[in-house]
Amino acid sequence: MSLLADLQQHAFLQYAVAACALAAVAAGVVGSLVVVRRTTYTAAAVSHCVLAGLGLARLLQRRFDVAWFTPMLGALLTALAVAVMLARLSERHGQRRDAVLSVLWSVGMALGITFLALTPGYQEDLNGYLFGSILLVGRGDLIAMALLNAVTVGVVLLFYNRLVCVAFNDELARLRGLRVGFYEGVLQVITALTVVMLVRVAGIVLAVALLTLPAATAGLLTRRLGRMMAVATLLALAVSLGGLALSYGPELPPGATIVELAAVVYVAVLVITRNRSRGGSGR
Amino acid sequence: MSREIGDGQATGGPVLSFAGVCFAYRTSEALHNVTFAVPERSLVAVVGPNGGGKTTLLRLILGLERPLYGTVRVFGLAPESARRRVGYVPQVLAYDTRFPVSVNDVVLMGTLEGGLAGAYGRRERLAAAAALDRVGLAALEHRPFSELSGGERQRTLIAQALAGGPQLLLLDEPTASVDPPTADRLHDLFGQLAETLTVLFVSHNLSVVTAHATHVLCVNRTADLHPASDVVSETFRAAYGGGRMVVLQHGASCQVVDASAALTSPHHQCSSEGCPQETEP
Repeated sequence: MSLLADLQQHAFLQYAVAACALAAVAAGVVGSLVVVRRTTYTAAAVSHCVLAGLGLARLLQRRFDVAWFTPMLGALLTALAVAVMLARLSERHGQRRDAVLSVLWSVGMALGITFLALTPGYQEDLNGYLFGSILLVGRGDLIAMALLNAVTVGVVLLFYNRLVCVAFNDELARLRGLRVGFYEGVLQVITALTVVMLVRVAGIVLAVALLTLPAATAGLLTRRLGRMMAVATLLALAVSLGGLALSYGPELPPGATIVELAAVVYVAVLVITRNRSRGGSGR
Repeated sequence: MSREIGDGQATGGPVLSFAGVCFAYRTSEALHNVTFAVPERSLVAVVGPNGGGKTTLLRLILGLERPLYGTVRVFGLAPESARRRVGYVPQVLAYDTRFPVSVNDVVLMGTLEGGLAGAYGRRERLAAAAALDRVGLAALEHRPFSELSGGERQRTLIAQALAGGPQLLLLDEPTASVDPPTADRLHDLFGQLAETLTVLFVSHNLSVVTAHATHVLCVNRTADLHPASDVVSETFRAAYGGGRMVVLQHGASCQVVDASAALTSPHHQCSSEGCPQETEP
């Protein structure tokens, strides 16, 4: 049973491949920004908070028949709310950022678990949300992901020079007259949008790995941010499709396989580049 | 060109002026009753012990901090309004040296202005190329910032500050992390730059101060500006270590080491409670 052979017959597989491709673009572009700004922990907190939105959506749909409030919408609203909270937090000094992130992270998950417990019916959702359910991606999810991609990549292209300046040195940006708070908010929001997409592919627990590993690997291979984004996108695409294919035959969980493959690639590139730079320094 | 302190008659005013400026971080006062005026096209060495307030002084000029009392004016404007005419080179440690950008990328950032979005245009690229040429780094334009030596990194940041076309250039310990020959080259560069703009640089190297600067600004909670010609080089005592704070001693009027009398004087613009905040002229 191979992915390629079944791909033409099953729409759900085609959707899964398309979802991987869409998620890879945002993971590569936004993941690079997150990695160079050293804010992967923030992304992880947003990712875990998303469970509250997913749980709330399920509760509203099943218990109160609010059909339009889809899990994707719930995830999106929660991620944006957390992004706004974090952006406002970074404007205030004196707050211990890591402690606030941990609080948001755990309270978000607690709310999600409670919402799901209050939801009538079979509790299959939680597992999918936590560890990904890429084989259950539907047409509506794909449309939403395409829109989110267009927004995030469009925003990065539009503001590229200024986002890079804020990420490189926010004081310099402020002295050049840039509205640093605005661009930090933009970075928070596009990170949140990307996390929502990656949660659909790899799940809450593993999404941040897909955001971080390809970008970190690309960071070993190139020293320019633009190229890092391109390389990270290609790597994210390769590992997510590769992971999907590897998991399909033995019926392994796709999200976990994707992350494991990304980690193997990262370690391999790390070892190769380390050895090469050692060889170089010996010359 | 006049080198008289406060004499800015060529353009109708000093490039930079402090009038009765006091500044405190929370409860400890960092600067007290600072008054001076820097004339156009001078090369000012800012000297003083660590913790004496040199970086605070630069941050006040940039409007990154606001004085508790007194007034700072840059080109006759509030510091925030004059920022685009000021180039700032912070200590090189302020940067993430692993950030994936090229030398040219870093220099181009110095041309950014307030607009919300957009790519760098021809004007910005030409300004960046000219600034790189000025610091002698044109050949390294495409080199990753992370692969530069300390001196090259410092020159890149100077080029970044120059790319914005400043009329006042502030450098915070620009030679702290470079080897002596590079430091000499940088000081020659500052001298050349001071022919067309005003340069303030923080330095711990007192021989450099006497060799290059037109003025010396002594900062140790108080601040006094002197023409370099008034500073008697024999009286330099570079005793930074050993717990002593002797920086330099010149003339009869200014001894940075003994600022006790100046520090006990009241704030210039108020001597009792209920002082107004920063006074507008």
